[in-house]
Amino acid sequence: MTTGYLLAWFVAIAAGVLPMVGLTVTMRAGRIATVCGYGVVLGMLSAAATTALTARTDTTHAWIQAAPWLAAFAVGAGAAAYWLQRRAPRAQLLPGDDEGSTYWPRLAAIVALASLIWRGSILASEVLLRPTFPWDAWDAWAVKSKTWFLLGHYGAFVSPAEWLARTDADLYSGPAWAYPSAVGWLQVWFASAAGDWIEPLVNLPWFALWVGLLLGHYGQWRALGLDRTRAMIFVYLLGSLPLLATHVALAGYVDLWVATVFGFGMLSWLRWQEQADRAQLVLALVCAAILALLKLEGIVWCLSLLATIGLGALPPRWRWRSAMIATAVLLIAAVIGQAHVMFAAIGWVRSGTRVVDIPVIGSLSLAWHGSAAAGIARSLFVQSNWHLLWWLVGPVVAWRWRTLRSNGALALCALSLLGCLGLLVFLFVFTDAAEWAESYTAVNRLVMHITPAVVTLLALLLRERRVAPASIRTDAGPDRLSDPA
Amino acid sequence: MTRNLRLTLALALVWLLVLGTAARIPWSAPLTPRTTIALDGQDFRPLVGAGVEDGTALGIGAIATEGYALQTTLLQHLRAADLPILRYRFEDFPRTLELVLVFRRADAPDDVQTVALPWPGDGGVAVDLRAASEAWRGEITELGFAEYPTAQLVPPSIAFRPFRLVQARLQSAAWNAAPALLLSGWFGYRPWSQAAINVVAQGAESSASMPLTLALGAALTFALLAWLRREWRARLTQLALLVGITMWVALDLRGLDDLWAKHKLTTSIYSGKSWQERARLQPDEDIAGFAQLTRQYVAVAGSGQRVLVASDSVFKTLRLIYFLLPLNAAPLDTALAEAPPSSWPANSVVVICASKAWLYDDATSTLRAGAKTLPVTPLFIGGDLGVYSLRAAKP
Repeated sequence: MTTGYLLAWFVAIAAGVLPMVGLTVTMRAGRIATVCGYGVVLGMLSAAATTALTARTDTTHAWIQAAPWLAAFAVGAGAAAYWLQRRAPRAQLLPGDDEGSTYWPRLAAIVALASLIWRGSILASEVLLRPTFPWDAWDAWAVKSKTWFLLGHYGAFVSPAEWLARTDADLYSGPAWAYPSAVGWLQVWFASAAGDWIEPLVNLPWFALWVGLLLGHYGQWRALGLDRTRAMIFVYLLGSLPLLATHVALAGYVDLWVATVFGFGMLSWLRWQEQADRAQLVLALVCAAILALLKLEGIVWCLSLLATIGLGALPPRWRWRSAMIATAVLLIAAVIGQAHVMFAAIGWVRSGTRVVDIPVIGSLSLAWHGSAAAGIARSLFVQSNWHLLWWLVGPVVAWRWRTLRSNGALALCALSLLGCLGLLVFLFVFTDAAEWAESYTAVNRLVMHITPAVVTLLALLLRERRVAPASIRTDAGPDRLSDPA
Repeated sequence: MTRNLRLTLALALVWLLVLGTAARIPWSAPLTPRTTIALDGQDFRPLVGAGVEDGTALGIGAIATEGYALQTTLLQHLRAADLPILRYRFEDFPRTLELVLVFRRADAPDDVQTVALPWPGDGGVAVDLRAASEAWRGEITELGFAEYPTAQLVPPSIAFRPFRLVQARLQSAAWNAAPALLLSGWFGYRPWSQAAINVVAQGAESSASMPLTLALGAALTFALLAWLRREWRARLTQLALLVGITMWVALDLRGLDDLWAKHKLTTSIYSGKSWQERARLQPDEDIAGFAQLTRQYVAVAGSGQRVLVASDSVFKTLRLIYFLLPLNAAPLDTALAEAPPSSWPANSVVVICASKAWLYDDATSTLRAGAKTLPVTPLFIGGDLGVYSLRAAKP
């Protein structure tokens, strides 16, 4: 690793950490972990955005071109966030914050941490040794970044028809020409800092992403009232999920980025709901916007997160009515057939009697696929992808049903995740995307997008009962928090 | 004391039931096998690759130019249904190779059946062949092992190291094989594969699901503890958490073991090498070589020249395109589906790699694949690679 490469890491992380320091001045518990976790992830994505905006003409030296802009952004955003937040009320210290744990839980938490460090060392070593391995990593996600870096400048990727029809030297094409480029620009940033297309160094952000995912969740869970031991054990549960670890070891897919940003978005929204921290609302909206820039399917999660944020902003009496009316309208539109529904982010979704045409996914025939349902069940409960996570969801929700019903934010979070899962089940069981579930090619990766948020739901359902959101929130009356759901 | 003993016995019974079901041993099977056929390494003869007798073992010293080794032995009157469990032991078997069982049946003497086996490691491994392959039936006439460089993961040029085939044993179903079957099935090493990014594969493919088994075992254990220990009923939550976390940790230990085993292969290939050396050690080093050769016959990147790539394998097509970057390359089939070749940019180049579908016709100076025809001028033809310049079709 060269000094330039290390400096590029420093600048990228600082670009995320500085604004996060400003945005979290009101936090009491979990602040450092939140700042570091969100900071690492948002910093890397800021580096990608700055590279895309400022280094198109000289990708060989992309990071040198982009670093001053990124540093200026980091300092400016950090100062602005601090200035805006400095007078915001400090969050109350939650009852569970400094609670002393007994010997055995503490020991369990220490063992869990040691296990994560051991796993992390293996993952880091794996990423640092191996050339890019999994199919879509080199077929889809790294094609643009490798081309731009080795070419020395940006070249547009267009459809094969346009590519053949025009003779422009800098027009490129490929199977993934329409995919978003955010992570590609991040690879350009690190390749330019490394001085060559060195795949392990280009893929190292996936390990940092995993660390950021765990730190960010730990910090936010602490801020939401989990004591250290519980937060650590849930971090262990999240960090030990085999498919997440696989996406780090075999770096190059964007699914882990989507999962992390969706998880962060949901966490920030929950903090805004429970603690009325406006900075967290900003973070939730930023995460929603990022989702649309990461992957085509990210637009669906972006809309889901925005819908959750929107519903959460409504008074309770309107919240459920609005959700039901919107669902009913969509269902009626779909059932009537030949309906056209406009979504701002994805364009016209057309539904016919036998087909649904979704711009980001394609045209899907509607039919029942029983074997896909079996495929989904096998993916969640039988294969080794998730340990016992999906076995736990049902019993934990049933056990903490009262908690779920009495906490409006958690209920809305659960409903949102149920909706996301419902979308996936619909996609796989009722459309010809069923083959992705039958062959297990996409089902687990799409489920992974919502998995950190599902772990958050379980963690918050299992936090100390006395940590009641109504006692935490400072700017809203109990009417807004209690929910008739 | 009696209560503790009763609880221990009940728990042992529950787990015997759960693990026994997972091992797929028939409940009617005896404790020890009724029939066993032991084959020492020296009973096998090397058909492909080189090997010599080494005591009772067979030492495999070289792989064939075809890229694999094969050792077989002839058998007589062996009924597959009577001997479903295979145990085998190798020594110094390299992590870079994958092991395949090959056999022939009397009813299909010309067909070679294959079953992918768990990596043998240093100890013995057991596999239930009935569960692993539907082809394990009828009368077996020949049995052997084949060793290949792990596909799409290990560069063939560094895959082989000498090893010893010590023993193979076929036996009838018996309960004493259950621990070995579960151990091999759940903890057997499986290398990274292209599918690993979609589905986490740990242990043998044909083994029972470990998460499912442990979830059922956990539920039964919880029910049993709550039933037999009334004083614990007040703390069912803690009990459930304790059982759940124990099972999770068991699964995670298996996951860590698997991750570590996979990482050892990566380390054995790439550790201690510079990036330039590692970049050369591609699992598909032949494709990387084709890319290097192709570069000599096409214009430099940025010239705007379109490079259209075809192969019988989609994997090879896309890998070659990736290795060719930043050359302006795309799949030939996609281009043909989008526009007629006559409308393509004039200086386009066609690269055919490892293809039996695309053939060059010297007489007409065209590339043909079924009804598809491309007028071309050859720039390079050698081995599995052909580089052609697209020629404007005559009006």
